[in-house]
Amino acid sequence: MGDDVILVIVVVTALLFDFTNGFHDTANVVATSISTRAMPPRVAVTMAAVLNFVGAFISLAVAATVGKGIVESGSVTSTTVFAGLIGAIAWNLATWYFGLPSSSSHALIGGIVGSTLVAEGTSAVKFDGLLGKVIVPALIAPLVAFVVAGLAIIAAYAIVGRLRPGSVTQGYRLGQWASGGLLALSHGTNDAQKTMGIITLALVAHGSIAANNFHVPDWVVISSATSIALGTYIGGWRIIKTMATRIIKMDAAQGFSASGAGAAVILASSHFGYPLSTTHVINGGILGAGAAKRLSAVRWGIAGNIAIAWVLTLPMAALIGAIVYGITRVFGTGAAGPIVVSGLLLAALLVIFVRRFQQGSPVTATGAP
Amino acid sequence: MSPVAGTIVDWGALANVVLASLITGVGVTVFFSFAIVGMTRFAEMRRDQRPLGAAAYAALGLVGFAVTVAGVVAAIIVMTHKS
Repeated sequence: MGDDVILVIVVVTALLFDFTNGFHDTANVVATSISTRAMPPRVAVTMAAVLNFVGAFISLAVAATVGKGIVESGSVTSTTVFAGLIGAIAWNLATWYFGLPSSSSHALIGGIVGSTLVAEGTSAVKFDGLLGKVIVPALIAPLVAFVVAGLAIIAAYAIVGRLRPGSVTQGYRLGQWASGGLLALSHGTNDAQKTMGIITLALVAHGSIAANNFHVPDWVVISSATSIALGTYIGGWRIIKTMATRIIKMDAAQGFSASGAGAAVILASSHFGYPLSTTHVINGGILGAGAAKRLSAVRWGIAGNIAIAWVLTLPMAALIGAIVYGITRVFGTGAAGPIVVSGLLLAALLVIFVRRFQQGSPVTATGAP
Repeated sequence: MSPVAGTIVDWGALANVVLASLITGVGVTVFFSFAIVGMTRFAEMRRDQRPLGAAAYAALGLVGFAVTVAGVVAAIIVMTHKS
């Protein structure tokens, strides 16, 4: 009975994380399109939501690899996963509250590392894997996207520089439908799979699925796809505002270059098995497209705040995951701990959302930011 | 490069990512820009009744557009063949 309750709590928490992942990362997909007025905001998030949903079905190469190579697989339990998910959700909400884009994947990894550290000690964490698969890619992703978007916009200006601005703007706005669509599809393919993998692992641990018959049940695929799509549709408008208007003032060519470079880097990294964070890539692309035009066009203070949020993501999510694991263990090894923490989380969510929505949305769903 | 860095970071995969990103990211932007130039100039030339120039720019626009579409299709194929 206790195991069943923990399984239900882990599944619901994983879907909640999936929702915050979509909610948080909407900005990655739509910010450039909204900024350049290629699409009205509500149209952009609707398209992103639909393509995230579709993207979740495109490939079922299961991302049961969340944490693989970073923590000892034998040390992962339902409770450590639960605590890690809470750490990731809490950090996603904190960064959304301040309108800062940060990596949901890094938050999830940080949360699981933190809870595993408390549960099993340092021997259960593979620090080489953490450095090679998380920290180094986090440094490289924005740099690669920065260079690609920068070169792309220089080339674009050289080619279309003598044309009338009207037709150029119209052309690149049209192109953003394709580049933004690719970003949304790749996001759905990458990120919804993390939740599918976590839920499936929980089902294996529970005994609902035999370990030698690892497969993702249809209900897991559909619920994960729906959750990330719903989160995307609701949209983290505060982060959209930061990425769309506060880093640089984009023209249509810059928007196309940034999102095109972002899609190229994400797909290349996915193809060669060197996963990079969508958030880091897109923000690097936006900075590159802005800096290549004029260095002073970039608001480096805002970029600095975003970089600080990136640096803090892993340790802060780990800290929260560790604290949550500690709290659950106060109530023993049964379901009482996760039930209490879930109740506290729901209460905190209610307070945060009520307070934030009382302050109003910074971007209207029908107009520009 | 220290032996530790060589072990921890998969430099081969990273080099492939950088190269493929540069070729596709910059390439698609360049060809899409050619598509915009081609279509815009084609409309201007046709309006000015310069059929040869119009045909040349139409060809440029179509090639640029075709390569861009091919890039999008290739991207979707990459997604569906993710291992």
